[in-house]
Amino acid sequence: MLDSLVAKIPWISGKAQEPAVAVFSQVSLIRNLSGFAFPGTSSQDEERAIEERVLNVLDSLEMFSSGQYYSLSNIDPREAYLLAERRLAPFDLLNGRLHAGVYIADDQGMSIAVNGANHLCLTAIGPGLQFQELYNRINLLDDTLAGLLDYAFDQRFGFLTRSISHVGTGMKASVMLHLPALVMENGLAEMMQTLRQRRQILCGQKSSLAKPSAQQPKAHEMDKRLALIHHQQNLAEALYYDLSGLLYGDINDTQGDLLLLANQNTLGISEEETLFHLRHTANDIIAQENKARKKLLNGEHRRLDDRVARALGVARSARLLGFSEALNLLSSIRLGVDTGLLKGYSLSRLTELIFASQSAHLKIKADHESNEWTLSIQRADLFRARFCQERRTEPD
Amino acid sequence: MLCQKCHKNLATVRYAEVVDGKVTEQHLCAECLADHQAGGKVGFELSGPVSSSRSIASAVSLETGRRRGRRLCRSCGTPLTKLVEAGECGCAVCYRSFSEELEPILTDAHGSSHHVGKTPRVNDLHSRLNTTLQTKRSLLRSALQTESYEEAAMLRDEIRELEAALTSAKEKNN
Repeated sequence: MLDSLVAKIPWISGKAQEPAVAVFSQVSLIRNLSGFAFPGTSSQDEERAIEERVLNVLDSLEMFSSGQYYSLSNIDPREAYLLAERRLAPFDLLNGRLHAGVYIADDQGMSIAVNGANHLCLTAIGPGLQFQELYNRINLLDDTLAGLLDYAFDQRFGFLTRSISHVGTGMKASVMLHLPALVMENGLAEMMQTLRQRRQILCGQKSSLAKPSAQQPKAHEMDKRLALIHHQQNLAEALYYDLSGLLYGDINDTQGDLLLLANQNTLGISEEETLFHLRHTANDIIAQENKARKKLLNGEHRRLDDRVARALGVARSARLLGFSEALNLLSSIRLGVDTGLLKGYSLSRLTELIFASQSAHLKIKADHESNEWTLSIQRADLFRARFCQERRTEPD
Repeated sequence: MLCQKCHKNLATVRYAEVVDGKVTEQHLCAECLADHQAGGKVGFELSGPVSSSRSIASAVSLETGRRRGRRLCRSCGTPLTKLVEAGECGCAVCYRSFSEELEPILTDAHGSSHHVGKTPRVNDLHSRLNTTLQTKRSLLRSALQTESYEEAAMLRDEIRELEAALTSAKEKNN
């Protein structure tokens, strides 16, 4: 059902902004409809009515004709997880509600999740650091929906959300930063104080889950197929998009030197202001990372070169590859490409591999039952094919 | 636990009595406790003092202590405790029901308790027409599901009219 979607991620190769230290950015707006209880409290009838309303809007507007709505009860659970891994749906959408689904624009750069932790979660995603562009896009979508759906809004508290940590603008903006030099030099700790003052957070991503979500889905409201997958959840190795922050971890535990910078506050600060400060912080961190890289290149050129070459060697020859290791290899190779030590690989293809090495992305291509072992084999095959082949087609 | 007397309200007080040297315990709600203590005297007169002033005082303090935790959203019934402990609301009305309690919590979490930024777009003719159109479409969907074809035909006509009105409204705007 998702064949066209699985094959590629159109926004990654968008020439507009080559992803370097800033790998990709996301802006989400959390919205609820007035007159309905929030998911978790709402009845199934209410959830059905909400889904129906949203579907009617999608049907009635031409701007939504170049996209598709996927109802989670109609798609394979592996596909549902793939959507979460693509960051087209926040992880909370997989909670097994009957009337949950997600609308995805054709370029996969925009999505509307229905009946996740909130009634709606509008998300825009794009390569590099581009908060304002993403916000403009999502803002337009939000305006259109606001005219047709009655949002739960309060003059004092702003947009009302299920979690009180999102009330106000209901906006969560984040950028995935690749910071190998700062991680190597332990240069992140100093930054944390400044970030706290600016009410922003920098966090690592947990690559595997011990628990699927804070709220265990109830059996009676859950699709059996999804239940099965939830049961196998400790197998899921992925970087999910998570608005509650439950799946984000400490900066020291992060995999592949990938760190997520996001806004913490949504009340008392406007959208533009939030994005402005976030962009500044991101640029500060990127400047520091580049400085640290320069220092490494000058002082420890051999060590850096060794790290990059070793990573490429493993990527070309490994027969078993775990997700964490894959991310670490990609980090070293990316660092090599970005510093000019390694030629012939494009950063956007490397970003694509971050997505492609996640569990559901591999499972969906497998024609057999997957487990950790088979996924490792598949991942290693993928890396060997990608890195050997690219070398042949794109000579140094 | 429900009140053992009225079986309607939540029991908030554990009420112990000594009758003929035997201790009987009841879980009561505040109303039944008051009733019991006011009206009960007649029945218990012969068996001596019903409750000491101390037991009333402790019952009252227990009651006020629990009242806070017992407060529920008037619309969805989410308790205030969930809001404080998990930081989650059950519905939009929770924000109004508990606005007083929320204010310091929000200030603590966000550094402010007042929204600044975007407000939803005001409804214009275009969006009003669209909302009606939406409702009619969903009605049509249910009509077809329940095989009410007469109603469906009427709805289809109305939808056509609305669509025409929408197109002309768009043209006017342009």
